[in-house]
Amino acid sequence: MKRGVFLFTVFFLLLTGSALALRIVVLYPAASPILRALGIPDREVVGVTRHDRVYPGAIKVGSHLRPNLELIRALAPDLLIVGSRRAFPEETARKFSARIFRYDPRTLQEILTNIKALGEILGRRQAAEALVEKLSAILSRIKPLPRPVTVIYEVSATPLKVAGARSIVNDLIRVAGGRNLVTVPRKHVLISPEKVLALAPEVYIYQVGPMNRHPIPPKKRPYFRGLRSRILRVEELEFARPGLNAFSAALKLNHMFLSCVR
Amino acid sequence: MNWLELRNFEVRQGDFRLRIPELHLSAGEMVAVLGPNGSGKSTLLSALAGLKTYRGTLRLAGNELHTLSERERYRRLSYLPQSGRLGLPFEVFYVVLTGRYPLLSGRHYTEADHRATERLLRLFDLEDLRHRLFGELSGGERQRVLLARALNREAPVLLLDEPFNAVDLRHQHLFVRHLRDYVRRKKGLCVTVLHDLSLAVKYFDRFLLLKEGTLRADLRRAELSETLLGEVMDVAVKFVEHGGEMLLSIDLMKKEEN
Amino acid sequence: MGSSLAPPPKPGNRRELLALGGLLCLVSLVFVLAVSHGAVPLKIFHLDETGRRILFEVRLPRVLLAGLTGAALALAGLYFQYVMQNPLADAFTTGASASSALGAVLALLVAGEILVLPAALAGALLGLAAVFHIASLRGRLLPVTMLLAGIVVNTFASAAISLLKFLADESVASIVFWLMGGFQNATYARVGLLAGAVFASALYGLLRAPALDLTAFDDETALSSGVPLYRLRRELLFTGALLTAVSVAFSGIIGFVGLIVPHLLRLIGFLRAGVLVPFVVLFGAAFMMLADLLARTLLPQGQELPVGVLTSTLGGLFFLYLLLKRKRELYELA
Repeated sequence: MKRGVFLFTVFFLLLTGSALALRIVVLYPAASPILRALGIPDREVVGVTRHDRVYPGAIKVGSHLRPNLELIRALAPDLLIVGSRRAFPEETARKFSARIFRYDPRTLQEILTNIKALGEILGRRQAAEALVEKLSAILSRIKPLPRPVTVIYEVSATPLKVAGARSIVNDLIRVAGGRNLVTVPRKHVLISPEKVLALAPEVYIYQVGPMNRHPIPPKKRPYFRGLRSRILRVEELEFARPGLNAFSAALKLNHMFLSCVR
Repeated sequence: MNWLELRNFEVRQGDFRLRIPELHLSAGEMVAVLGPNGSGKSTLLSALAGLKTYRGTLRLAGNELHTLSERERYRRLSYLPQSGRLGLPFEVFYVVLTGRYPLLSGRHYTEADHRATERLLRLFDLEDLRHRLFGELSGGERQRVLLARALNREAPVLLLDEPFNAVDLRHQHLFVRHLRDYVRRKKGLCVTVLHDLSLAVKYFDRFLLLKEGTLRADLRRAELSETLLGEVMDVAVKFVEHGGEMLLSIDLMKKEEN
Repeated sequence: MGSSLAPPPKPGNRRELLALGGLLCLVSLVFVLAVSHGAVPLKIFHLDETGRRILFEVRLPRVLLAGLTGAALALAGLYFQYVMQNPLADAFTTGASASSALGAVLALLVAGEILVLPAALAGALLGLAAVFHIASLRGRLLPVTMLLAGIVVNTFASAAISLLKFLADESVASIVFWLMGGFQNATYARVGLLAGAVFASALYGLLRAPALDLTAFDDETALSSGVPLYRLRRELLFTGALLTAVSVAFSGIIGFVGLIVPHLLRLIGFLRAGVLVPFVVLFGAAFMMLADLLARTLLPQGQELPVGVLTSTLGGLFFLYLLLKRKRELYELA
């Protein structure tokens, strides 16, 4: 009897204890700003990927595509926030007793849904709802265009890769009032330059960032001398990451599109 | 005329040293180089072909060998190394044709080169093999092709290192007779490394006996003696007269046991 | 004098002239196919402004670069085969491609695009020198050791590239480009440069055709035929490295072309350098233009395949065929 009470107490303490202080490992960098916005304190995020600077106190556990599983295990996490199935397969996920949260949104709407779901799991429903409201408010400032602007978004210059239908960029363009001319159902599409010329987008966006370090400006490339499109240069980290940044990026893009239509 | 002249000639190869104080090889001679394995026969031949650095004097037709250009040198002498290899596929006809490379004046083999090659193929029963790839031939056939290649240069000086390896008896005799005519006709010189004493005794007229890098004896056929041959080659040799021809009987030397 | 490049007429020459005509037809046919087909259908005789730009600014330089790269790699393969005295040598099996790509990637990460070409050349030469030194024993090149050394250099360079890839983290895409190959960045300047390199290298080989053949013999036979063997080998090695480096710097690693093209021609019975050099250039050009055409058109909606993946797949199958059908020939080389 006494023993039963004791066990029950211990169990209860453990439960509440874990609810009080979670141990979270974030393997998808774009998710960290969301945790921060939800008010998750530094001590609860124990592990992050190499270039994630949102939680400077957390231990680095390798890269997004190649996490160090031993380090993660040593951190004894309660919650693992991971990316796509390619980056973190089901099989690997099964090896952890921790709860797995897959953060792999392909649209802005999915980002909002994910924020709500995270709020639910982390016990911060109110903060999540407030955040969603704030982000939706940004979207509501987007002005409608008389017609969709046609767009191609360059992911990298050598080799020439552009955003396909499965990329978050695809939805970002749509929300901002544009239309991605590349409809191949992939994230990134290795494309023929002549196809780009033939599609003749009104706007050609090229990103600069880790995926596209020092691209030559499109009009200076030999194969794009015939490109008539308006060229936009954007920051990869701001536009191609499915996180909080995507909303202000959509608004920014909307402004650019507006100036194109006028 | 002396085709080859050696004086205070020395070749070093690692620990091995080949020394020949004086040697003159002149026109019309069939010279057999005899000796046990490792006695320096191959070293001597490849040095005579200009492929080894040497000390002393080595003259080809009166000219110090290293002062001659490659073209002048190899128009006058043709060398058949012991194990000829070919890393890429070529047909037999072409392999024989390439023997005439030093004779090229332009960038292409001429009609005359082709005719000479045809003649040699006929002469050595190689016509049927002419379109076959060298790599597909048997060992003996390859050796015959390489020998024909060496002769195709029509160089006065022939240096042949065990040319009859794996060659059947009929062709051995065919070749060696051709060599003898060739040397006579061209007033040339043929220096051949051989292991077959009876073949040597039958067709050659001068014998260089090598052992441990020194020239033990330089003999005409009449000067050959059972004891000298036996001593150099480390076997018991006996000459046997048969129907006016000199035959050889060879046995292992009896070693005294202590 | 009248010493033209064409050999004087002799029996068997008609076959070679016929084959030359056939190859020229093949190259023209593939060229027309490659120019008229692509991600975007073009009416060649009724071009609008965009069509004209696509044809002359994108497709034509690309087809030309592909053809010249094919020619360069095939010729480099042929020259490596003379150096290594082995029909299995090419830019891929000697590790020249990989070490060249390593140079290119290093230059890209450290200094930027300007140094890519010289770095690729330096890489190729270093890799080849290593293979050459490992494989030669007392002046003789051992074919099997050569292949093993090639594999070692190849593996090492690939591993070093992977390491750079890992350290550079996310700029992987442009490094991966060097590993898979492609002709997207074709310009007429590059086409001109590569054309010059191919022409000069082919001429070099043609002028020395009989000597090239003699390098296939053992060193003693070659030397005692009056061939300046060691100088010739060094020059061939350098020429092959140059061709490899230029192709790698412009189009990345494209495997096995230098192996397949000369081998197929030898299988048909063209064995002499005087014939092989021009034929290899033509056949290599046709092969690569076709491979690039496939890479550009196999997938729908203007998607591309990396051409190096395509040729390596073909090359792998071809190697398999060699191992299964021509065992004897392979083993007799050792």
